Amino acid sequence: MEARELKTYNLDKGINARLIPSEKFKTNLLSLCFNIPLERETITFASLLGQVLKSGCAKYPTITDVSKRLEQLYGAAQSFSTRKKGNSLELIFSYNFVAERYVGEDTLRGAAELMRNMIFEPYLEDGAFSAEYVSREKENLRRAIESLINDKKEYAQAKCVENMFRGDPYGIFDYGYVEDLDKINEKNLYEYYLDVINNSRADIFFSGPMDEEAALGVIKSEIGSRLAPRDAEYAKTFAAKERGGVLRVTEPVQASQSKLCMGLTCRCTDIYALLLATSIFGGSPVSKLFLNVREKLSLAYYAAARVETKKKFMLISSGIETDKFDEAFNEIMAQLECMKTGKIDDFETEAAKKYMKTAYDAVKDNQRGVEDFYLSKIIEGSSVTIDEQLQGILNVSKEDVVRAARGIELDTVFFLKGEMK
Amino acid sequence: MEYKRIKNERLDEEILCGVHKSGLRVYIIPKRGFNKYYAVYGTEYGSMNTSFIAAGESEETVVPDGTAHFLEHKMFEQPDGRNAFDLFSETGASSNAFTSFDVTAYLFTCTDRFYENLDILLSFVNDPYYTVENVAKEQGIIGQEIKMYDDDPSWRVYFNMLGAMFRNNPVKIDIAGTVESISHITPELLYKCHKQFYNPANMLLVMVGDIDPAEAEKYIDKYVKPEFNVGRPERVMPPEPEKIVTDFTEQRLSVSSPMFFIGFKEKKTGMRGRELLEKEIETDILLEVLFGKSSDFYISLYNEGLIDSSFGKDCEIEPDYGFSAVSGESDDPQRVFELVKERVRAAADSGVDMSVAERVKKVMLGRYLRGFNDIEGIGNAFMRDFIGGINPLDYAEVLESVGEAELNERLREHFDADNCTLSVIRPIE
Repeated sequence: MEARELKTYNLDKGINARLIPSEKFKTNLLSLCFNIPLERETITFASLLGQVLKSGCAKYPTITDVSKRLEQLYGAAQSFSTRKKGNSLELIFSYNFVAERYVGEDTLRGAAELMRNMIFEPYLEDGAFSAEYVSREKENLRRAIESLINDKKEYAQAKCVENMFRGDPYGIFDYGYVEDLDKINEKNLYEYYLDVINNSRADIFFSGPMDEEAALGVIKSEIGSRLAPRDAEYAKTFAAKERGGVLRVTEPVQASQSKLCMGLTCRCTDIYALLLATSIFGGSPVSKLFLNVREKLSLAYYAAARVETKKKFMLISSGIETDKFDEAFNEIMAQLECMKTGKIDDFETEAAKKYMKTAYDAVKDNQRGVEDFYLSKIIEGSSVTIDEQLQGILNVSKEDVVRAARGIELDTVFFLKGEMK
Repeated sequence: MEYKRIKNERLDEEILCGVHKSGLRVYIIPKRGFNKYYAVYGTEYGSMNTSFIAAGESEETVVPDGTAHFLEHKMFEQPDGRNAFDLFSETGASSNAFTSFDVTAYLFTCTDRFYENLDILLSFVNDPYYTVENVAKEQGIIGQEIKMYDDDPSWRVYFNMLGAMFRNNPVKIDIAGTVESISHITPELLYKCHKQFYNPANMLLVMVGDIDPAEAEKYIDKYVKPEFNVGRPERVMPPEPEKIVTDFTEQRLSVSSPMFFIGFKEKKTGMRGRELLEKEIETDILLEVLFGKSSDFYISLYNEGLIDSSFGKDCEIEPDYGFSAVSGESDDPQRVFELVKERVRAAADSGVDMSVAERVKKVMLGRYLRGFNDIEGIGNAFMRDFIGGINPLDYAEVLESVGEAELNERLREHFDADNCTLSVIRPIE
């Protein structure tokens, strides 16, 4: 049997190192991930934290100092971000850098040291973060939140999710909220930071070309040694509740085009069938939505669907002419009906399977893609590999697809209505 | 077909280069260990080629703005009513196409059945099918696409900058054209452009992955016929003054805060090969030295709240046009513009700090090496290089060789504070 591509080493209670060795890449990716529950009270803190940590540490106190250090490490890319995973949020601190063999320098040691400096030895003033940095990054975050409207497609999707999941943490906007910023200061953000690094579930991913033993040694000494054992579990995700009706929300915007987003609940527990059904319905350029709504009827410039299997939630997203709302909506629903009644040609199923095979094989060529796949699986408590998940999808029958489709119900219609003055 | 093998031991990478008997330039970049294969079939024909003299004609042909992009959309349609996307879907490949200023390219990514996909790619791009009906239908679809771009602030701020920078150069033309311009497109016109620009003398094929050159050649033989070679159509480029058109342009759209692009216009055109690569690398180093994250400029504007993490910089130095730009969001783009000009003037006086430049060169080496992880990225970037007559494996060596004198010369010639422009998108009041 082939060795599993992910190798897990338990470093201490609640702390694991995850190695993904691969010779084909020229870079390594080192990521420290903390898992916290999605909560309205802390989301803005979580979103702000990475930006403040990025501003400097005790050893490199300013952005300029940090940038110079990154440049010396052959332009290592530093990314501190958050990622919504079902009802949990991952705080991910990562460094992507050229592997030792291509530059003849111990770049892993350099990056791991810098990670230790940045995450565990932050720049402090009077036992808290710098007031100046916090206020500067609050302003930046405010701008980032407000600029969501600049991308109408993203904006409509976020608003659809928010409207559909009122009362469920999943509806929380993961950038945070402008109205929370006033409450945040250098002291309470620092307390929040201590809580996250000391009490949340921690995973350290390392992928790319490596000597496993040496890599594990560096990870243990630079990162593992700074993490105390912890009791935390991964935050649990619960399925979307069915509304028993349809919520309709329209918001006007000054634009010549409109965006139609639809949120749906999925009852099916067979995630492979659900993934394949979504692909046939709206997951590729050969999907029903693409071929009918976009190509055949020219009702939309884009029309696609994706699914969050753990949350049992499907999102349909399209860009349409404002006066084509009814036609586009009706056609999307008609295509969903085709799925439910089994009007699916064999070639559609085959094409979707092939499309997914290509997509999963391609994930394996992308370091961040592989890391993200396994991070999701670990949170879900699953040990499935990329190949196993793909095989599961390829084994799905048309009957399974139809059964999955029958459990899909429209929940929310969000219309970002373009109006030109 | 004879292939020349270019190898770089330090990078552990190589390229095979050959010319097919039809005149088609063929490149293979072997990547082992990856699941993906990538092929991109490109023609040196883009939105800026609106005027040309066809082979065998003496009169200039002028086509409507947006024709190259329109042609790209229409290529996927097959005479039997099917779409090339359908054919790729049968093999599980993901396919796409793009039109830029000077290139139109058709591509696919797959993880198996590479040669079947190559067969589809070469077949559909060499088999045009345009009718009055299918042209009319496409006018509707592209009309939607154009409207989407019209609403897109990041697209508009960029094209408004090009319009402010270039007086005659057709690079300033919106890639998709306008609803009005594309209404003049006819099947006859598309056939003519296809014959002229989609001929082997004007095209290249780049393949990335564990590919057998002899097997690939069979498919090239099958679809790319020597008789298609009508020579390269002569491009008619209007003369372009060194001077920009205006130093300021503004538009209002639905955005949260103002977006800006500040552009420096390239004065030299017609560069190719190593010279082109040198100029591009020098410009990239200078952008990083002047405005990079470790610069005093960046941190002082960032601390003042004048720029945020959306701040970026880029350059495009090509044979027919060139510019570099810094961009971002700011409540006071005018002030950023003044500070950018101040920065380049001060740098021109003091000269480039070589300790900074050496650090920046490490960053660029890292970025270049990282690029080899990305199969599609290599294919696209190397295609651009091949068109410009550049050997992509020379990059690290050229980067190393750039010295103080070249950087200072480039700084003074390209970053001209008296010949740069500011484009702004402001929120609707």
